[in-house]
Amino acid sequence: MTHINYFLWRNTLLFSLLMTLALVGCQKEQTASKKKEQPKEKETHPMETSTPVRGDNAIYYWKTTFRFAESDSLFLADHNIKRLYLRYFDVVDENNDAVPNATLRFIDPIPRGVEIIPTVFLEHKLFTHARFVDTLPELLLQRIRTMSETHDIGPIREIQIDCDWTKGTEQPYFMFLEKLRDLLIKERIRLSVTIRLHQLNMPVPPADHGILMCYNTGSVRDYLTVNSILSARDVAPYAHRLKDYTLPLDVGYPAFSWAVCFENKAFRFLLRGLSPDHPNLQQKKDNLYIVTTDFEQEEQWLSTGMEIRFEKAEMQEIMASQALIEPQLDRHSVLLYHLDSTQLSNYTPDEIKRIYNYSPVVVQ
Amino acid sequence: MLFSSVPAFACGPFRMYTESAEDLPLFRFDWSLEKELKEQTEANLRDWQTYTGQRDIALEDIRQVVYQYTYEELLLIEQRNLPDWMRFNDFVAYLRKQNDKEAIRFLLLAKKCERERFKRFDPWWYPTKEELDYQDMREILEEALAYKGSRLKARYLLQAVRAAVTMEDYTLCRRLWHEQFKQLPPSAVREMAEEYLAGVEYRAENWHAAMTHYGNIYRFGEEFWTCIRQLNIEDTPLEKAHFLLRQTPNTQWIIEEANRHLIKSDSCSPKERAAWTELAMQAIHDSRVEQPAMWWQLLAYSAHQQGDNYASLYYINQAIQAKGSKATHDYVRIFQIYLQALTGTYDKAFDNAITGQLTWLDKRIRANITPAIIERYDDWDMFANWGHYYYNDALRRIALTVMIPRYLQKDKEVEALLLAGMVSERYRTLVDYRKKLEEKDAWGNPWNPDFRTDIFEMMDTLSTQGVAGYIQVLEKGGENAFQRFCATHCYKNPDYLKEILATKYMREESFDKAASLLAEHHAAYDTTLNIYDSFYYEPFAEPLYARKKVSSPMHYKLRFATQMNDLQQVMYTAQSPHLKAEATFRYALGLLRATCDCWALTQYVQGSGEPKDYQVWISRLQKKAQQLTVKAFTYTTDREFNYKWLNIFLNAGWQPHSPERDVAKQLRKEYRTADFYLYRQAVCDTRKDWLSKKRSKKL
Repeated sequence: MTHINYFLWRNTLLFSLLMTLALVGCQKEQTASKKKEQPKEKETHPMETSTPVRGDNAIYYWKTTFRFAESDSLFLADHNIKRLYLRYFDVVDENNDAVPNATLRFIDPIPRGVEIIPTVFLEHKLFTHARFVDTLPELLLQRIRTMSETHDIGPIREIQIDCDWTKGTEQPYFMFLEKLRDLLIKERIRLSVTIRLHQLNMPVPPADHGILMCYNTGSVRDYLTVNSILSARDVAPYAHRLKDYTLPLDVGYPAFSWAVCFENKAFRFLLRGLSPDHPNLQQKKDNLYIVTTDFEQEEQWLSTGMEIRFEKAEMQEIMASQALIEPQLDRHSVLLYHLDSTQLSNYTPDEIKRIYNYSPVVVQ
Repeated sequence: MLFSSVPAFACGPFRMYTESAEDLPLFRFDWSLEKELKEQTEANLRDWQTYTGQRDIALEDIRQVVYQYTYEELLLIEQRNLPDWMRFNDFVAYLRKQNDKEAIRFLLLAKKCERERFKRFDPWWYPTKEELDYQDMREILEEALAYKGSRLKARYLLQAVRAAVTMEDYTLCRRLWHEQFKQLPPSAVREMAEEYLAGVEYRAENWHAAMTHYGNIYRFGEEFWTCIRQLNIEDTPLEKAHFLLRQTPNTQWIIEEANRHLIKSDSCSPKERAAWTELAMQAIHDSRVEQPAMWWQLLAYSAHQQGDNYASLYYINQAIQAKGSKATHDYVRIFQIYLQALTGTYDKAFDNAITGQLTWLDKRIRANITPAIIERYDDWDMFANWGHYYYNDALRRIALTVMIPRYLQKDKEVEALLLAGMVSERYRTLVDYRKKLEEKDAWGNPWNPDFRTDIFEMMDTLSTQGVAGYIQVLEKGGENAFQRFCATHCYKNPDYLKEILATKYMREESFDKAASLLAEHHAAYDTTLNIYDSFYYEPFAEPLYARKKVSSPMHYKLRFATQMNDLQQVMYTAQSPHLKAEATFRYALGLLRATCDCWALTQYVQGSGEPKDYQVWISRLQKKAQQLTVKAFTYTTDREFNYKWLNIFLNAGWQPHSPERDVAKQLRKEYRTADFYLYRQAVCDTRKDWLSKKRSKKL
């Protein structure tokens, strides 16, 4: 190597080293400056380890008594369900006081291997005023904490609030969520909320993520509704809102059925355990049946002439809804409502799998 | 409202005020059978007071410690580390001074139990693992059952029951009750424990047991009636009543229902009545019934309503001797007085007996009066008999509707007046009415309230002799116990009494006696009379139609009485026919005026509200005036003199009535043809002219 070549080689090497160092330094600066620019919300997010893996399968448990049968265990295993949204209690307004109602009774122990997310349903009329905003978060959190400790549920990484808020109740409800979130952050717990389709048109609630409830899309009390549980036609108008929705969303689909009872075309009540095969019913058309002889069902009296509309979450509607919604979402989880072996037996394991593992049909 | 067998009388106090006394309440039951929580609390405090052996420890001090102090504050007592504010509490002082560790330890346990139980009432409470297992309550239960002493045994057992209930160990609750509590004597604490048992059985849907417990502690609320419904008792009231009488004989509903059928119902058939009466007799002879007196009382009311006062008296006498509450015995005795008044003989023996009863009733009126009752007193309402205060209302009812009419029937006007005087004034005295008196009429002028009372009504309408006798008793004190008792409580203003008596004398034309009395009373008293403004017209002004104002209203009645008395003297003693006639004419004029324009001389009201009794003596006086007038025309033949007087009387539009009319007509005929007529004619050219001048009152 000549003297000049050496100097060239050395200078090139030095230059490369210098450049490398400079580049690394810039990147660090960039990273540091980016961190400074990040909004406060991001800085206050819980630690990374508490963030659930997006894309997990999940399911709701929405009964007042917790019984966990072998079939339930198998279901969770078969479908790789990692998260169970467990309704702990409701909160209702009773004589101008916010009180818990229908608290879950634990008969069986909580299954291992699945994360429990305590879910609380709040009656929206609690937020017709701001009376409970200051006290409710702490009361709620303390109760959830005690219930979880008593029944060996934990660690709690997420809490969900289910509330069908309206324009009139929005502000107090959002204030409540903010206060709750402040408390949860200290304990590194995430806050999720349910979002109904029509609420996609409304301001985004202050939470860490949401569950889009893709069910009860129609008006159950309307005699003319064909299927209030789920109709893709009802979902379609809202699908375009998803892209711009700033709250990360998972999506929940129905896996239940019920009988909607009418008398003279006026809504009377819902029944969960009635079958179209009942001998006192006669099909009128499609899913509409008529009572031919009086009988009692689930402590309700069905008179001759009453009409029953049997509704079920149909696979094609679920699939159609998925096609509308899921392409708009990113790394989302799918939830089913809800864990009830009788209701879930209306679907084959394959159907369940298809719901959980939706992928769009690619036309070649 | 209530049947009465009192006969009606032609005279006496049966006008607009006293007649309404029939509506005053008489039948009353002690409906406080159902005990309230505050009574239980008070009974508990009294038990604590008894425990300390010091009756001067205020219940309020005990209440604060037992019900209001926190656990931490009680600990300070145990640690003898009292803050200043606690040193003023006498119960704390007792605990400290006596160093009653037993009581303090108990209070701490009770407070702990209360705290642990009460937190469970918080709707937001959820049990921890330990609480799920009732570990906290177990410790309390163990400590409660570990007590071996006797002074606080019941109280410790109560804590054990409370802990067991919280733990939902109902078997233990029942065992504690049956094996331990039932052996203890009745007390507020035992009652509290039984209330828990009632709740336990209710929750367990042991309806019969729950009903029995509720009945034992007199809790006849919603839970009790739910038990009854669940037991599917026969739906007829009588069957239900029989069932309850067997199971919970002190249920207030039973006697309420019996009352409804036997007394309040008009449509109870004889068979039904007999059935309810039989139920009442069963209740009376059931040793578990706490107030058989109430059942006897019910039968007495029922018999009275059916018109059998002697049977009623028998039942009420049984009630007097039977067991019952203080209030029940009051009502029973009041009804007994009423029945005795209805069936009494109204002789001396009766007077003596009834005096004792009225004295007792007077004491009850005094004993039960409260500041609230005094505050709401309204004099108008009292005399309108709108019912204000039961004890006084009962007295008025008995006196005005039974005793006074009976005394009048027996011509014992003085006794009747004394009783009326007593019931009119006694209650006013108790409420200090006259000290607060500020009565005004509609124009804001002072108003004398002594002319709307029962006694005034009676004095105004009964005989003058009776009123005189009444006033004599008031002045001298009475000849027997009855008179003395009543007289003590009557209104004794001498001006008031003399003025009324004088007016009554004037109505009888005893103007000498009237003048004598009016001379004694104070002239200034007249200005307090409500009719004082009507002392306006001159009673002797001429002609009769003339309305001449008096120079002064002072001594209005006295002047009139004196003048009438003087005229009477002349009428009966004068020899001169002119004098006699003049006096007679003027006397008649006075009599007539005193019954119309100058009515205030002899009346206290005119027009609306005027008593019908007034018409009796008004008619008499007017008739007398007419008779005197006609007679006076015959005393002298002086036609001019007679005509003048005829003119005076006739020109008022006053026409003589009945037999005197013919005489007057005759007189008028004679005067038309007499010389005097011709004399009158000299003044007038024609008869027509004379008639017109007469009409225009120029003649």
